[in-house]
Amino acid sequence: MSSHDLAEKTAGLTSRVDNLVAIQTGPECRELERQQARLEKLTLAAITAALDESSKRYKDALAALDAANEAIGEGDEKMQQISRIIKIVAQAADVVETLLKKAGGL
Amino acid sequence: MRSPGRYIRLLVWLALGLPLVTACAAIPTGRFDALSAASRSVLDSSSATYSRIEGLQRNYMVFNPAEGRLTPESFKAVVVDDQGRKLDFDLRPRLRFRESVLEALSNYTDVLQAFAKKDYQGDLDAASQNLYASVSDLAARAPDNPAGQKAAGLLAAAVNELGRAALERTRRRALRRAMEAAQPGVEGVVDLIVADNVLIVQAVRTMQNGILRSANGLRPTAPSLDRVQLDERVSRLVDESSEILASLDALSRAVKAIPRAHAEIRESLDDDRPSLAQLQSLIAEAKRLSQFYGSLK
Repeated sequence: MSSHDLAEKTAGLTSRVDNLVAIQTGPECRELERQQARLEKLTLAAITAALDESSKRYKDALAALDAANEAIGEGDEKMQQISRIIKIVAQAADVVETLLKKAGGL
Repeated sequence: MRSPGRYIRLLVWLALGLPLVTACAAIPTGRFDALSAASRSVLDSSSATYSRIEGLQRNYMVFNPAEGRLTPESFKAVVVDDQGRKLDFDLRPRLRFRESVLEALSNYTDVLQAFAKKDYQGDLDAASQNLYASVSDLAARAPDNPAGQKAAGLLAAAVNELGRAALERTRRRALRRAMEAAQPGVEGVVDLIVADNVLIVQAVRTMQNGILRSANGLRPTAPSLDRVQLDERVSRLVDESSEILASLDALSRAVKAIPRAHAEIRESLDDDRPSLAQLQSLIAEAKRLSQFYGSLK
């Protein structure tokens, strides 16, 4: 039985015990209430165990998001490279102008 | 030797022709904004709801401490099973884990949004303007080429257009690649969060019932101020747990919409057919510049 199913079944049992407590009186009622309180906590323990089991399954999904973030990082670097190349082309004209000034006293 | 004007003419046609061939529908930055906002909203709402659940757990333990005399351990979320093993049922670390998962999802959508909108063009425009200034200056020093200034403008525009087209192609390709890689992860995270919310709902209902059961055992039978004060406190906790259950339901519905929205944005990036209006505009511009340049010869 999976942790998820166990948590569901114990929650259902807690509810049925609650119905029993409502119709009991006297010492049996108090003992039943004590057991009910304990069953509630065991239900909560089954639920947290199921959540812990589920936590392990997030790993692959989170790895896919990490891979996507890395791909964006690579894209960003490529975009900056294109911008740098265009700047170099523009700066080349500056260099030519400077050389012409020095050579021809323009 | 071929004249510089011929090279400039070729460059201009290339610059105008390249967008003609590769012109794309604009990247849907508005959709990336919406996806980021939706993910952030789910994260913020989940954080608030999880904090309320932690508060409910504290109240549950106050109404249901460990059996026997009160000690510092009485209010810890621990139960001993039939084999004597201590079982921890503290929801706090489990909720915080899920919050961090939703934060990772939200951060990813923020990265997409930032990349889709990042201004690389600003540097490109500045570089193109510098190019125009430099080439203009050079041309002005050549008295036998009075059309040099005009050619400088065309060259700068051509470089700008080539650069812009290259930037947008690269941006679109990177977004497609990233979103393809992420889609299974987005779906996986959402499926797990929705399934876990079912368990968390059970926990909230169990704690609500536990508070009511305990309060019924404590409640004075005769009407009194003590009874009213107890009733008042319990009614607040019942309302709180009802609101928590409603929030969890709303969160599950909201988070379920994210994978489909992500997939639709990814599909829209495949639409790189040029729009008719863009084509017509480019053709008109190319004709105008061709006539203008022809008049410079």
